[in-house]
Amino acid sequence: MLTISGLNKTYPNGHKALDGVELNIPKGMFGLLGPNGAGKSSLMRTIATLQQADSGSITFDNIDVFAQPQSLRSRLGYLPQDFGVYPRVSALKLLNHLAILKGLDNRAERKEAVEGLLAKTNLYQHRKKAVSGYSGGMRQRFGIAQALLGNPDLMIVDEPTAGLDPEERNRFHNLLVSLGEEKAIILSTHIVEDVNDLCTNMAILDDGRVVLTGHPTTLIDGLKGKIWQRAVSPDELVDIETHYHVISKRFSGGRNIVHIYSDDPIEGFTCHDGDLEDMYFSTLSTRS
Amino acid sequence: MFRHLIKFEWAYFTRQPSFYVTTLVLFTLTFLVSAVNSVGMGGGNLFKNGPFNLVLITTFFNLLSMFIVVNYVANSAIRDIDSKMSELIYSKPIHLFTYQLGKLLGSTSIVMFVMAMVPLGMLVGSLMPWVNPERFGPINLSYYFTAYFFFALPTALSLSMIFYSLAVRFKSMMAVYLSAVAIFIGFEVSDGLTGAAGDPRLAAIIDPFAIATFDYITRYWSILDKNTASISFSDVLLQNRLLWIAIGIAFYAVLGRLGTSIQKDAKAKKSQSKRQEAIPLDNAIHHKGKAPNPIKALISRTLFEASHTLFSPAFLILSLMISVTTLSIMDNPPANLISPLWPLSQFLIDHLEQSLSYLIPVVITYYCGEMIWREQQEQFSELVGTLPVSNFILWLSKVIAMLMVVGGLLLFTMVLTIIYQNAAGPNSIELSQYIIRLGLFNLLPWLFLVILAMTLQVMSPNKYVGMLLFVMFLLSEFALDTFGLTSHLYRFAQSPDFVYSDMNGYGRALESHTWFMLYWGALSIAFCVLCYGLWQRGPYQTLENRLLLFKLQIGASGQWLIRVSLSLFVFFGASIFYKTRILNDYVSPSDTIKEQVAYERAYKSFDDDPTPIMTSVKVNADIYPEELEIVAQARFKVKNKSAKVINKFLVTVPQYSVETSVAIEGGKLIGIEGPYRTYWFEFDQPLQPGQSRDGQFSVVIKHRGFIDGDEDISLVNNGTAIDNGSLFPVFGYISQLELIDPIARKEHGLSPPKRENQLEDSRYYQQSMFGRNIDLIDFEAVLSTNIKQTAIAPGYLQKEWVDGVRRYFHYKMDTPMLNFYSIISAELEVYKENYKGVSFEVFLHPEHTMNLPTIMASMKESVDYFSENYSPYQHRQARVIEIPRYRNFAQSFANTIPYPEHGLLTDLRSPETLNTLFDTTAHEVAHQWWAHQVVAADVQGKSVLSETLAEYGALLVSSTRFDEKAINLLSERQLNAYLSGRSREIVEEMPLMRAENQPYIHYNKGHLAMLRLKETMGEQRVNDALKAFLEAYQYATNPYPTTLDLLDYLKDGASEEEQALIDELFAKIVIYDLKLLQANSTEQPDGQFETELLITGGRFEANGEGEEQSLPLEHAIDIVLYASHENDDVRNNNQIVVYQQKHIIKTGENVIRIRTSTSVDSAAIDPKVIYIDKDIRDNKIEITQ
Repeated sequence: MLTISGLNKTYPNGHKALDGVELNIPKGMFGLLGPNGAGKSSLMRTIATLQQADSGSITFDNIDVFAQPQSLRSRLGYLPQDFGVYPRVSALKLLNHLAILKGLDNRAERKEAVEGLLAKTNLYQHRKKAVSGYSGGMRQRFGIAQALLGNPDLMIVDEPTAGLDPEERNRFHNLLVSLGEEKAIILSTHIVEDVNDLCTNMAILDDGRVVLTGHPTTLIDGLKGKIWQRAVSPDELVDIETHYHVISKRFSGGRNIVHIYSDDPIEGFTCHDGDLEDMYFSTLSTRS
Repeated sequence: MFRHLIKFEWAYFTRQPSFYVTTLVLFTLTFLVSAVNSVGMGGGNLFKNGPFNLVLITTFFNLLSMFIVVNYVANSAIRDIDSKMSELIYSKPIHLFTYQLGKLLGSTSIVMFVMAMVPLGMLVGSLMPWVNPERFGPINLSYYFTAYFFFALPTALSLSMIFYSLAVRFKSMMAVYLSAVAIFIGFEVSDGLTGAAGDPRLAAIIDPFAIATFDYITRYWSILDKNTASISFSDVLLQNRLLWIAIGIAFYAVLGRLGTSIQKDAKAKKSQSKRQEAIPLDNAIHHKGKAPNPIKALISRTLFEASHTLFSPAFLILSLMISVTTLSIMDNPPANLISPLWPLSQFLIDHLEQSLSYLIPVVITYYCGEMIWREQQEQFSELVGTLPVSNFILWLSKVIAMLMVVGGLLLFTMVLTIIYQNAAGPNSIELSQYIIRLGLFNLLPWLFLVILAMTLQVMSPNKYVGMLLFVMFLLSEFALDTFGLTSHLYRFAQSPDFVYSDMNGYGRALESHTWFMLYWGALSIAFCVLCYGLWQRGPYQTLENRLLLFKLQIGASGQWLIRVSLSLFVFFGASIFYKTRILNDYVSPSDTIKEQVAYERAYKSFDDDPTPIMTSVKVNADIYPEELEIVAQARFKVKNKSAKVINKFLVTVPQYSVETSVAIEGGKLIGIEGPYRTYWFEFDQPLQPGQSRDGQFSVVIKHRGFIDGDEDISLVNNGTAIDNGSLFPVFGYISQLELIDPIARKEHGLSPPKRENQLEDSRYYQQSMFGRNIDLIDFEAVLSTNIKQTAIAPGYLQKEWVDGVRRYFHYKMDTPMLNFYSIISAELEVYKENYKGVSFEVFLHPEHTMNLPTIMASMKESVDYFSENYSPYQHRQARVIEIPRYRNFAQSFANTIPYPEHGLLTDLRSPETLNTLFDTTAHEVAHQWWAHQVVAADVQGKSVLSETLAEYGALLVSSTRFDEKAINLLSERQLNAYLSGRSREIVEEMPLMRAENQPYIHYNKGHLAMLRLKETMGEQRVNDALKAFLEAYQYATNPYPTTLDLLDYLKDGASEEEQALIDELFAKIVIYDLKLLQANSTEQPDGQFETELLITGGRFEANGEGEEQSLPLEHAIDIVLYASHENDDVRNNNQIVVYQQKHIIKTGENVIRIRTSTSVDSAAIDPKVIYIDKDIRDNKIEITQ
């Protein structure tokens, strides 16, 4: 549905944000993973018509995004990572205003959609309050509501669940999944688990490049029998790091657990069922 | 810690471009003011680096400094919050009080540094090698220190503390901006209020910028003081500075939150109502958006944008402040008038325009920045950027919203003004005038400014740079002046100034304004495309990036629009050029100077050549008011009154004439035009001494196009008033055309300005004060005008008839009159009264009849008084004629007094109002004696014989009608006008008898001198002397009288003491300084009250530069004790005189004891203002019991 090819972007300060990005994003949820500064936001903004690329093309459902940004915008829902709101404007008014700008011209339809979205994001009781007075979670939900206005065919959501409590996060996931069938939804996050739970396709971006694409479960299958783990003491760690391909270290129950990627079993290590996080870290650590 | 904090602030600000920009701007501006010779700064002998000018400039920049302070100090105060650093900082183990104080001092020290650029720029400017050394005195660093440390520094310190505290308290930059605007408006308003209420001392104490303070201190400074006096840090200055520092500290202590952390308070959560609502969870949310309807999107977006500003608390406060200013201005008489004007639409709209003219640019500067950067600032730009709304709608909605903001303010103040007008009195509210003047002449240019401001904002990297650019644009007007680019073709969104007149309406201003608006409108469209093309969508992108996409963004239609609008801009510019420069002569101030110089160089040597002098003139003038055309002929007789043969003479043709011919028997005009449209007329048969000849002028004056600058005010649609010097050619060298400013003369290599002819130079005794070529003539005129208008010339109406659509008037004067007359044509209503054989006629605009009784009464009483005391009135008719308010003064022609509208429209309804209209009318009538019966010789003091004596006549007539209190007030105003006039003198103050066209001397000092003479010698004796003088010189032309002759008559029969007084008043500059220092009253055992007064006296003789020498004082001066009235109304100042006697006052301290039977409240010395006192503010004092 969304085809990105040969996308390059270099900022005036010389930073190469996008480096020949090629992606094919079908309907459904698409997870975009990557560390900070990998170029996720640049990519999302470029798709969202907010900035131009130096070269390359983006096509969505036969719309050339660079040539016809307006056509894409009427089918786009966008939730930026960080957004503010105008002071002294209630959620209802602001959403209604945005709905008009999104082309919901029919008054009755607009009212229904606006109120419905506020209800679904659990903001209906607070609809007459100024959005600027909302808590972080409420504000995030408002962002989700506005992104869903006008039933967009392409949704771009950047870190949508940051700041949400677990219950709200679940609710949001449900909403996304229920919508995901007929839309292309790009979910950018660094919470690997979310991608695992929600997405049918994913890509990992690092240093402006797509380093891995695929279906999460297929990708994890490829790791079977190759991840080995063990609790280590700090003294051992140095030694292990020089000899093996360590993909992650983390604490669990107060002990340092090391994951190692290896085709063959290693003495003293137990085999671990690889998960997406291992996939993510192994991909990144292989590159560096 | 402290040092570190201050260093940190410095390090922070020295990284900000705004720091360098402000520093550089202040330095450059003051440098230029000082170093550029064409910047006058008082001109004449006033040193540019004298204490007066240095402090004047400094106080002016004090006003500007407020905005610098706001920027730096408030920024410093809330930087932590804005940058969300506060939590990081306040968790550090710092002492908060120290932290806050450090920041305050740090940022204040930066303000002080920046402010130091003002004296520094002036100093460096004065050192430049090219400066005119005459304009600079020796460098005295103490003047610079005075300016900086007494005036600039305390203001900066006080404002810093105030703004810092406000910023800390309200955590919002806007609150601080608003306070700055509030202080500014408060300053304007209080200045107006206290100024009008006559309490300049209070104004001096409360002015935060010390402008009024400085004004108060130097009010009566002579030029010598201005160049050399040192300002002591005492009295009002000290009080003012201490007051503001105290206010600053108070703010800091109360609001500064010393020792508490500055964080945004978590908003208190209101308890939720628990009422259950049906939550529409089942609503369909799948409605698809389509391409939005552009109209709906535009409306929604515009209302959204506008409501953000209109309903913000800041804007509401701003509106409130504007309404206060507007109304306070309404209720005050304009500065140059003593009495208020009738609340007519034309005046009130003037006031409204004035109060908006400095506020709206502030609103535009600030809110355009806010509007353009709102999405960026609120981090909403990414959301808006992805909406399917075109940039065009995003851009247009902001322009319309800004227009709604500005238009809303305009509408709001307009409604306020109309309500005021309705309440202020019965008069018609001219709604169309409100709408056209405010809409077309104000709102439209403001719209263009909005477009420009937005374009600048879009091109700037942030809102502050955008605001700075726009402010620099606003200030560039002054720079254009400096470079001589005065044409409105260079002044964005401006058109030539115009004055609305009830009589003449808009004149040609509607036409010229429309052309200029089309011109600037076309350019604004190009700016619109530019602004739209560089529109900032989504996250911030550099201007460079956006420029790359510019062509793509505006598309083919945008490029087409730019081409079309720029072509229109050029087309309208060319049309205006054609209308103003081809059809008319465009004369910039520097062109005028050049022409003046050329004229003087070419013809000065012929100054003394005799010219033919008119002895009889018959005018035939057809006025076509709609076409702005006059076709006039004059048949005249000239005579060679000199002893020399006249072979040739100079002829200067009227400024706006399109055809002119001059025919005199035996000669012709030579067709080579010199500067100022001057030609030679050469006789084939020279005009012998005593010989007379006939001649004829034929002139067509017609206006075409319009004028880029001051409109011609003499030939207009309704209210033409053209005098003979503008209608017909003038003979001989015209010395009034010479350049006056001594410095400019020197620059152009001309000799020092020609002073008036020496009083004793009897060569000029045969020449009248109106110039050598003006003498008495027989006069007759046939005028025609359109059917609705009345045409008026001096003389008696012989016949009036109508021929088709035109009306004719035939006037003939039966006595010789000066060759100085005006031809008037206007739609006027005439009111006549016959009284003692004289026909009193008042010609008024039909809606301006409010003061008819006052004018009539003043004319009758004046003619009565002067006929009785001096000589019979020479005419059988006296006429006051209203003309448009383009001229600022009434004038007295033979039996004809044209009066500008506003002169006649004093609002006299309140009994408290000083009846200046009565007084002025009496003055003009008095000129029928002093100027028309007695004409002065063309030497120093000539205006004394006309103006001083007319002023005295008005005083006498007013005294018969008004009570002493009113007359005292009148004299007090005269004293103030004299004292401030002499402090502005740039050449030399002359004694009264040698006054050289110095209005403050011949009007104001003249009034005071005659008053003192009258009080000393008695009204009757002075009148007798004047009568004898008049009898001796009535219609005398050979010689004309001088002030020497007047003094002879005044001194005739006067005692030695009186003669000395006459010399003191007329031949010297003598000033008194009377002070009532203390007054105590105690009740005596016998029930009487004894009052002890401590009075100091001084008497000084000043020279022309203001240098004083002490003279002995031993004068019997009025001492008055007052008790308040039973029903004391403080406002009316109703007091009963309990005691009034003359006491001898000597130099130095005098103690006077007075016994009265009743208690007294206040005491005064010389309440009648008989003595010319340096400062009468200290002449009255409350008595302590």
